[in-house]
Amino acid sequence: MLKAGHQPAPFRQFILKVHSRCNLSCSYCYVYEMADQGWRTQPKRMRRELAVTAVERIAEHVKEHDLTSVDTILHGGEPLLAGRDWLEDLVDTLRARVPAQVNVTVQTNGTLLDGRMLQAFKKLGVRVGVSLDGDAEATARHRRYADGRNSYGAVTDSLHLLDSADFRDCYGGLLCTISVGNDPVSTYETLLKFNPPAVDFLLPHANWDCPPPGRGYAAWLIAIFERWYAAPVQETNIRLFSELIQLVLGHSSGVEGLGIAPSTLVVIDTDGAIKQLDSLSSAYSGAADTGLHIATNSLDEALSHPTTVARQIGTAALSAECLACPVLKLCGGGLYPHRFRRGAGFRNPSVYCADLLRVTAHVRDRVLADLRSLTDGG
Amino acid sequence: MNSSMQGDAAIPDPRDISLAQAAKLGDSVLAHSLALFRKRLGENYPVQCAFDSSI
Repeated sequence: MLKAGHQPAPFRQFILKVHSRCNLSCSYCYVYEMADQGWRTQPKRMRRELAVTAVERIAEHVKEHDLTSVDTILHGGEPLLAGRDWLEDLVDTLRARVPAQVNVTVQTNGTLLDGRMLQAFKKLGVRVGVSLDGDAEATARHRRYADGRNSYGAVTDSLHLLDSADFRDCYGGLLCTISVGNDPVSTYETLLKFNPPAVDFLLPHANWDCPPPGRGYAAWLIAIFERWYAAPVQETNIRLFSELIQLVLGHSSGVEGLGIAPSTLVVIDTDGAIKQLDSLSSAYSGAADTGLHIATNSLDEALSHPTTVARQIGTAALSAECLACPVLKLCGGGLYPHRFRRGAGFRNPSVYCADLLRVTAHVRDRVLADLRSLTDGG
Repeated sequence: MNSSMQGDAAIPDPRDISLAQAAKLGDSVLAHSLALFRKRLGENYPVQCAFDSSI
């Protein structure tokens, strides 16, 4: 592919898995509950010196490609288990050593956020994304502690704090994994009660060998799209839909799993291993591995890894069915891990293909009808 | 020009929508989307974001 003229796009998003364990035991978690059980051999927390090496590798990549801005996502496991002082040190080091604007986000389950942690994030300009699946009943379906307790109460306490005047600037948004057993509009309206500046809805990780739980994802998403789109005032930004609209309008998408723009995301695991999009581990054990390590390899070396290339070459990585599809440039074949089929690899339509086709066509037709109406009406 | 519908003359070009026309949309989702579209036209927009990369 490189010989054929492929020019790798530099990484711009760096996921640092700073802690490999979690204080929740979510039933759908790709880290602990799916094919790859590699977390069992990971150190609990990234060693300090390894974290500094990770920062140096990011800085090296930024210099090599003259990047002016990058995103760093502190992730896990549950990243807040790394501790406030440890996280502060890491962010200080990132800001001091990476010669670019470094946008830092922490993606947390929200159970460990408190005033002191948020004060630190506020001081450091760190934004906080929190995972929440809906109301107490919806959260109880999947997001429980290992002893079975529902995490909802702890998360909502944190969200009220995050939404307070003191910390609102740190509020990144809510991440909701779709459970088709929950009512879609009620789910969305529950999330709205926490005043999130942004919401994203995630399809549960699945593939052709490990099918999605339940059916009806298109109807579920379209119900929320209509509730959101038809509101006289935009109540929040739903990332999935707003990026899909940008694709309809002619831009590239800002999220992996929509459109055909190259992926620029790389993961540094708790032990320093350089990995692909870590949700790939939902496909099979080792699927996210590159065999590279920050102690001995640059991030540039991961750019030529076959899976990185596949995630950067757009339509050349897609199946014949996708290439013939009328919404190809909107859907882009769906999230890479969702295309996996044992024996056939990733050159398949998404296991969510029928749902993605319905949702993308619905959004496209709705937006284009409104644009026509606007221009026809002068 | 539209990425999904090239060659279809019936598809409006969002760049042709005037500010006065966009103002009719108020504070709606479509108004926000057109504003974001205009903003990105003037940017070297980074092609990815990782908000959806985790649970």
